[in-house]
Amino acid sequence: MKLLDIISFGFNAIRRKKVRNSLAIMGVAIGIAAIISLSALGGGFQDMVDLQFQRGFSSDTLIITTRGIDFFLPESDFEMYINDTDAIEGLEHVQRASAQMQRACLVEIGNYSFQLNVIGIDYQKYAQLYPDTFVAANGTIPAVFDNETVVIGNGIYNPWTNGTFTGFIGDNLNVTWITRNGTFIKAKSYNATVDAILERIGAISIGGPTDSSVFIPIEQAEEFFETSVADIILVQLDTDDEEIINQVAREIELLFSEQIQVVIPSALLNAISTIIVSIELFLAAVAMISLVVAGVGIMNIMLTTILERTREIGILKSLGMQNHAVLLIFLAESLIIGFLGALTGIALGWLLAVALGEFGIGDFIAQSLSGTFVGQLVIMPVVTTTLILNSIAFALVVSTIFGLYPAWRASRLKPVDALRYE
Amino acid sequence: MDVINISKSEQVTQSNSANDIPLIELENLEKQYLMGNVPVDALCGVNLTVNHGEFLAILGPSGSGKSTMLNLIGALDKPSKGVVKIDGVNLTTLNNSQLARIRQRIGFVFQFFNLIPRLNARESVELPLSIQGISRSERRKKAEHLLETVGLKDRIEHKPAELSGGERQRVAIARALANEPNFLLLDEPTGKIDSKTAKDLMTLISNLNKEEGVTMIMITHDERIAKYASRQIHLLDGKIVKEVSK
Repeated sequence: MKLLDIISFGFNAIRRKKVRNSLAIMGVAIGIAAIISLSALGGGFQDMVDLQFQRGFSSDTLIITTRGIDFFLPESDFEMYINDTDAIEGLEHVQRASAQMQRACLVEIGNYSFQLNVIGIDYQKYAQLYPDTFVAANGTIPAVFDNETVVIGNGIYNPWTNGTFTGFIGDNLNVTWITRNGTFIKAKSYNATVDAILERIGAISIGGPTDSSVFIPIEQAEEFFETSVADIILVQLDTDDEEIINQVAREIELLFSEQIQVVIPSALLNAISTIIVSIELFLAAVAMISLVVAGVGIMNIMLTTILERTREIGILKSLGMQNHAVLLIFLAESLIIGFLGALTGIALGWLLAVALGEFGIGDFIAQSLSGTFVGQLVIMPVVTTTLILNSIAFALVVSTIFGLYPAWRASRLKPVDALRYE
Repeated sequence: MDVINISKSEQVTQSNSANDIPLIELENLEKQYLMGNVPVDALCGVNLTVNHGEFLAILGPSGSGKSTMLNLIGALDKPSKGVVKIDGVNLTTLNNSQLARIRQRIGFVFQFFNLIPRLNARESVELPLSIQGISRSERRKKAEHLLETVGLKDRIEHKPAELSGGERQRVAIARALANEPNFLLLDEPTGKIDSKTAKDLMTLISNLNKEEGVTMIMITHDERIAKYASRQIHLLDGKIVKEVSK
């Protein structure tokens, strides 16, 4: 019997039992849809993270912090000072070191007020550290020190991205910082002039500029926040050689008697990627279980089908059909179910991934991360040809495995017994 | 799958014209069944020879072993003892695949028609041709021609549920003829058909035997139907008890 005839015979049989076979197809489709949508979102999330970190982090930059990103080590009360940068700049391979301090302040601009991070930095060094993102879209970043100057992220200027602007270059911006002086609560404030608005960054970052940061000169910050303690020190090296980066990181740790932590952004990125990959694998495994359940469903309906069509099998054998052709006919039926299920599942999964990406998964993650990172996250689901082909292959493998036993049983039936079956 | 070894089944067709070898030979044929745990002797030592072009009727009450004998001749079942030869080929020596090839050269017509409900008349007749790997256009042509021969020209696209009993049996006969079989095995072909239609059907079968030379082996318990045959054998308790030739 020709392969095409076997397939069309199986297809014809499937068409006669629409409800039952549609349910089996849906079973497979749900499993495949889960695989497709989860992998697509996972891929999209990975892409987004990669993009964000590429923009927000430089591969030749180190971040020194006393607070640490490690959850397991006890917090140190060691303090770094702004002028510690001089010692770091003395190390080999270090191009520049820039201290940074930041406080949550009430920022008033025009008729609007926001609770934002006000970051004290050295404008020039910062611009060298982040040449792609610390760039003025309007106005200019002042080169000469000036107490009253402020640079704002694009998100403060245009927070709703709908053409409603909070203020313009030259406008007043009032910074209010609330602190304690003994038992008293004290509110300090000062007026600054907006000298530059940054270009839209659209990325999250550790240390680097974001769309919702307010930047003031480090000298002004020192005076206003009444401290010389630096929160982080950014260090730029003259190389992105991993070995040298690790070596310099070690030297810096020793410089501070191991009381500080050196974060290597590229290592952080790798760590995050690893976590994402394992989450993806876990989700894929869950999705695969649902496909195995669908496989059991296929086996179930194929066993029923074979029982119902025992007489037909007898007829086919009386007409001289070979055992292996009987096997192929019933195997073809499970494969058709698997294939149709895969196609339906791919369509469903794609829709689901797009819908989830469109309506909020990104925003949801952004909100849950907003303590640390701020920025708008957009996850574009990634459905690759490989993903589609793999899903189809997986569905076919599952339907083969679970269709084989029923088909084998059909092929082994004795012609007389099958013909006599009522 | 069309290129399995050109085995004994091929020789069957080739030696078809050699009339010195009988078409079917049964030698000391025995078949036991287990009914639950009780062995039942369905056939006890049957000897029979059927020649090319014969029309044999097998008569006997139910339980006499008629169907068992037909199943053994049709290579649907294996004997407990004894030999079934078709064109000199001993079926007991063949494996499942070779038996399937033998069945491709046998036309079966059953009492309950045994048509596949979802296939229309043309598809039913095409089925054995499709099993042999014959091309779509060729088998379509052949199926339509055969349906015309059995008088179902206007029923080609009808499914079994839309056909009368007599029409269904004609489809079954057309299907049985599709492979140009060496012989037809008919298991009470008129058993479920009214007597008027049965008469027409028997005329068709008889004509196929006389004009086309198709060998017929038919089970019946109806003496009037058996009269169409050129030879009658009577079975009782698994043995041939009487033989009548015209």
